[in-house]
Amino acid sequence: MFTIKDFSTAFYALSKAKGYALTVILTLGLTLGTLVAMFNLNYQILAAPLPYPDDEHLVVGSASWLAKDGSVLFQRVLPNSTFPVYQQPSDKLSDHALYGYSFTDMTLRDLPHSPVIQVAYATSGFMRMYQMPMLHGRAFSQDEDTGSHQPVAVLSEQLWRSQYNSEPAVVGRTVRIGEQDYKVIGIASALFTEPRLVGPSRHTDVWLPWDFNPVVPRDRTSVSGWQFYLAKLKSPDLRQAFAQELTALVDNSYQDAALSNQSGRSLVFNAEPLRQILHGDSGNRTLWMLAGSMLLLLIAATNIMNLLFSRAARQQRAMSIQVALGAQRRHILGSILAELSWLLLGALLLAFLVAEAAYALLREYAADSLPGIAALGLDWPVLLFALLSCLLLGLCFAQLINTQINYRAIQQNLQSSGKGSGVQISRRSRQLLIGAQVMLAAMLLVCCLQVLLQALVQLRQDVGFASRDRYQITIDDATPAPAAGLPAEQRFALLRQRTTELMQVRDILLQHPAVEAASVTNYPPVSFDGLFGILNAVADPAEPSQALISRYTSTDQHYFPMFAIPLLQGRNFTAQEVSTQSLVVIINQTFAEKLRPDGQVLGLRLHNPTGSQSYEIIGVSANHQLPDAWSAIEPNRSYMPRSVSGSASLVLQLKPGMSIDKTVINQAMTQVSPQFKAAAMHSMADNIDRVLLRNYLAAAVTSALVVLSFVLAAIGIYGVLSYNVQLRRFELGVRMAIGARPATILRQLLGENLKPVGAGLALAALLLVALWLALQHSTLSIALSAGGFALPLVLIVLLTVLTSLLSVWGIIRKPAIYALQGQ
Amino acid sequence: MKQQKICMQGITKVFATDEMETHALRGIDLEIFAGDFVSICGPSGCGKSTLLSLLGLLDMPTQGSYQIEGQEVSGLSLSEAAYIRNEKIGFIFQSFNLIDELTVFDNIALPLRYRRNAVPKAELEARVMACLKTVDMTHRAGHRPNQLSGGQQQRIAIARALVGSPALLLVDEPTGNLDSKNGDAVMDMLSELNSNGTTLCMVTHDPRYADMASRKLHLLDGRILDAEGTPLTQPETLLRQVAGQ
Repeated sequence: MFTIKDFSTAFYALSKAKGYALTVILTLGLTLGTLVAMFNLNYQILAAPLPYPDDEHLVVGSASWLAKDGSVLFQRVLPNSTFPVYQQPSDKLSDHALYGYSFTDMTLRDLPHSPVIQVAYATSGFMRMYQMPMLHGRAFSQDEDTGSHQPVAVLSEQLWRSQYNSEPAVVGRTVRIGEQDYKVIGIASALFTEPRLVGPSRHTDVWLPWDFNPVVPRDRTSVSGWQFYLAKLKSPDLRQAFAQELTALVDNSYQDAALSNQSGRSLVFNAEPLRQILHGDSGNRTLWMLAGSMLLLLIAATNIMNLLFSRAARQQRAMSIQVALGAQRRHILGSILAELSWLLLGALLLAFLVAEAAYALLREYAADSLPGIAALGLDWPVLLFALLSCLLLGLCFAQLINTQINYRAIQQNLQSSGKGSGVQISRRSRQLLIGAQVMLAAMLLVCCLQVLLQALVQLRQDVGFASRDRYQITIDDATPAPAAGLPAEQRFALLRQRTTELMQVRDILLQHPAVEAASVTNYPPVSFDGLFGILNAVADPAEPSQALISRYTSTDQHYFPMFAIPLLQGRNFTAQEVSTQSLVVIINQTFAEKLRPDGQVLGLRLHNPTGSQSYEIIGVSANHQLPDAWSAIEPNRSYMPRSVSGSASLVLQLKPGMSIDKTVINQAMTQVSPQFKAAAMHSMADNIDRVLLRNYLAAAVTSALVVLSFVLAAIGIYGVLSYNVQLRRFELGVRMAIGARPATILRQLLGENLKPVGAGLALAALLLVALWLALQHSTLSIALSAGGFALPLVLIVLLTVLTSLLSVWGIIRKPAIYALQGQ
Repeated sequence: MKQQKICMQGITKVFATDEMETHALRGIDLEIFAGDFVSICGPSGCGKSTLLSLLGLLDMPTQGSYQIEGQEVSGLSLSEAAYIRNEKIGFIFQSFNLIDELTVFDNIALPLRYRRNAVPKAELEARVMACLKTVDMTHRAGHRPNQLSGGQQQRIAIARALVGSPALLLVDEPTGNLDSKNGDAVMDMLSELNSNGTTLCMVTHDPRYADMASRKLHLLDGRILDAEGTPLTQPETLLRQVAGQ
């Protein structure tokens, strides 16, 4: 069908129509590139093989902790009752490991600047199952497994390069982490794709043996988040059976040790496929992005169809001459398709560049919120997808052109002194093109605007606490943890001692000229790592199983003023209450309304589940407005001066324009205790941004889609209307000749153009209603906004008015004779 | 004394491009009176169509004065020109120029629908039907143009030109796209209209039809010639007049 001559002629013709060629290549390249990038992202998340051998066999074990009534207290926690099971592995496994992440920032104390590091605790099976490649040294061996207490460490290549100048001699040396020296036995290669079990943002710098995990000494009834039982099944089919077997073992062990207040609670062990843990529900989000990019490509394809038709219409004279000289239909089509091939080739090359740019953007801005980003790149499935997409588009374009070009009319074109127009596209086709364009654009605009507005509302909303010039100082605390068997009072005394020391640090820092305010707390309103403490309380000690779970903050009297959190009822803690760690509590409004619908809770008491302690509610604080990954609505919050857990950090408010560094803080800490080191300073504003990252991403992606779809729709609608007007130029001239004024012509065109636009909008509305109804049955929640519906409609109508005016402007601003003469 | 319908004085039209200027009309003086039937002939490129475009306000002169029924129209805006064209001029084109998507009735009604003041529906229908009757096409009111023969289409075009009761009917090669039988019929119809008082100005190549006019104008190189073939207006004279000398 094609000859080389066709291609060279087509190339020459396109070089003479650079604007047309560039528009087609840019439109198609941009949208195809976006689609390719989104396909790749979804492929990596949903289908690409994981970079571990026998990845189908790998499961991640954790438990759901159920209350008496069967409701889930906590999910994906590892009960300490799992540890005995690890010693006697199931016969369904070919390998297994315990794996957990440190909750707190730690530092490398052997280095003078004590850099902060992320630590994970593992047994040797982890490195075997995931085949950790070693750059130097070796991985953990079975000799370093549980119970061996061998202080060894494996460093990541990145840490080794950044902190130890890539010295091979580091292997064999010791590093100090917390109060312990560890011998470095290996450097894990950067080629190792770490399974990020608690989210894409958490990476590991140092792997330590499981024995050094602070959760290990806890009793058998304890459960901990961020800890997992990793297993490699002999067959993927054994997953359910393995989970059932472990449920029985873990729950029995838990029940044997459970205290009276935990009666009725139970554990259900889950063995989730590794892919599910790594990728979670990311696929839901990325599939929407894929759908958006497909819609964008459809809009672009409609545009290109218009451009191809216009091009064919402009070439009618050349076609007529070709036909007069004996060209067959296939010759005419051949020359069109040769041009199309060049355009598709250009678009395909541009698409790969656009996809690469999209990968770079995703790596820069979404690496912490989406999995699979690191694996994005040009590989065979992506190449195949891009080629097939291009081929499919080409075939669709070719088929449409083939059905629309009227060969007979072209033949007669020259015979009628050039007054015919052989490649006119029928009025119905033109209207269909406009309607389709408007429908696709309206759907995309409405969907994007709904998401954008929702994201913007969240971003513009006051989070409910002050964050400017406020910093979270994480502390690497080398104080030995209280021994497991220590009586509660002694344990509490140790915690109190530590809190008192931190308050001394706080008071020293308050003397610093840069510090406006300081407070000691386990967690600020939003922590850099998204973690928070949990308080399990009951309103009635007679009903210990009716747990009231809240996010718990142990703090001092400076906390509420420093973060400007309003107290709606009652009062703040007094210095006396803080120093004596009185049994008083402030709760947030949500919690108060749970306790009593009228929220009047001052004087009521909360009890610990054993009934041994009760706390008087002395205040009610305002809610925060910062939904996070754990809770889409404001959770219960409780604040107490009494420390019931080991974690503690400092929060500082600096004077405007002032700064402070870790050295100053460390000097203050050294004055009080050599065990304390400031691990890192996290700006509260950054902590908030981290929580809002999803909203920022949504806003950025949807803004880009809104702009792109609107521009594409504008080009497309203008293209069709302009082409429409060109075809009707003579008719409009006749109308003007018999007295139609410019305004009359414009009004008439507007009336005609708004019909297919209205039809497109109506169809889009129907499809959106169907989509909305479908979403009612899904987990996706979108707050609908009337503006998000109205704005696209108004924009499209305005666009139609403007493009109608633009398309006919060249005709109505000149005397009628120009239109009659086809000028 | 006959009422003056059209008065052109020193009309010139120059088409300019980046590279050259083309003088299509070089100082045309022309008067047309009520009831006149003027034919304009001349070789290709002599300026016939340009003159007709200017007469019909489809284009504006480069220079000169143009009055229709005493109203100066040479400097009107596009919108004002459209009103004048709508109310005072009727067009009959060589290629009929009916709008395919409209029925015969709607094609004829179009000028009335473009009126400055809306024509009441009953009056509009009456006037359209009257014009259809004039051209003997009442039975085709609901048809589309492409369902008609060339001769029939031209009769519809005549009806459309008449419906607004124009002061002047401009006719551009009315028989150019018709066979001789249909051409004769159309010309008979135009003659009859003229007999009934309609003022006509017609461009034609055909000497037979040109002879049917009461006044014949010959155009050559943008100028009107007298019977001896001498231009009626010398451009130099006109320039002096314009300059006030």
